[in-house]
Amino acid sequence: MPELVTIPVSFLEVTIDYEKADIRLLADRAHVVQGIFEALLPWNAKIDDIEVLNSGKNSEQGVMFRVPQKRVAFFVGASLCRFSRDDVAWHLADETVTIFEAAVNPLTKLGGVVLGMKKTAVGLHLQPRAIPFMELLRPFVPTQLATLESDTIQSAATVVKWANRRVTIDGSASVANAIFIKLEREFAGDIPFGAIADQLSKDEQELLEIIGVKEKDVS
Amino acid sequence: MNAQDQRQESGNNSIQTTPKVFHDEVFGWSGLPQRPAQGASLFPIPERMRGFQAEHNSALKELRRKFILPPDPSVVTFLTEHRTLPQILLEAADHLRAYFGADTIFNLRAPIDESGSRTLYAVVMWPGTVSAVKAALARFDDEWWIAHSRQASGYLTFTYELV
Repeated sequence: MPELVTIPVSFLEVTIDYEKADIRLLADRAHVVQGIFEALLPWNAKIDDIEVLNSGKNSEQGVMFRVPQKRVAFFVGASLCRFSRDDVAWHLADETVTIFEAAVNPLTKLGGVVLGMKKTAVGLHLQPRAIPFMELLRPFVPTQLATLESDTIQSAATVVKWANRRVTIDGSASVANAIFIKLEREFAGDIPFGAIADQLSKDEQELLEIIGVKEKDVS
Repeated sequence: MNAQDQRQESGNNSIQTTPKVFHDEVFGWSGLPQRPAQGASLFPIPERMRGFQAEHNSALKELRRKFILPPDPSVVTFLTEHRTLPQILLEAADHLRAYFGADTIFNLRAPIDESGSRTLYAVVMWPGTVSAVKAALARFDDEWWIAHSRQASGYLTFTYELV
């Protein structure tokens, strides 16, 4: 029977590389910024939540839009844009896709940007209520390493990478007695966001089953 | 505890660890510095309140690393209403580990009692025997908690649950 866990911290990140970097997004971008701001107004975007990032390498500079009400941040740079949302859950998937598309559309329509590869990451901190988190991690510790010391293992991490996918299982650095899982997958630029959400949901379900946990219904 | 050095949060700084508190509503703070009103420079109360709030948020974040909090907001709300408790709990955490073991799980709960008031419980989830946990709790009480309990004003109780 799967161990019941709660998910006190979670996030989604989608980074989209542009087909071609556009330096105009660092200079002549007022119409794009205004377009994205207006697109985020339905979620109570505020002018004070827009931050212009002028330091660092050119690839790190850009404009950050925050929508605190939805715990959303959207960064627009000259070579990529990045959308992130905290406290994500699958019942919020439709809303997340709607906000995401609203933020991205002005970039393509007003900024003329052609979107390339979409790199996604879902991060979840899974907290069992009564068993130690190491019981969830122990099956992923190679026996050759586990026997190196007679001491109790304090933590362990596993990372598996494929051409377009990566899975991380680790102890949580943010939450007591919890494990952290991160599911990363890359999608071609023409895959619609709805299909991406479906695939990420399947990935998450598959990994939770492998770890032997199920999210506790807290409603 | 993590084993790999990797970012485990989104980094978009939108995480709120506490529910809205009164000064957010009173001052309408958006999270960015605001120009002080004329004549307010001698008593920059909103600024100081932001400082207190930042300290409190930081203490709550640290507490989440040491104790399991319930998914509902009861504990966070209680800790926000009793601002001395997070610091006491953070100090207690190391002592709890010393008396009950480094791998032991500690929960925080804030149930409403029969009289309608709340108390915060720090609960040791104990996998061993009753006698062993009672002995460890007695030592924790005698050697640390009794000397520090006044700071909690009766709002915090340490107890155990067998698992």
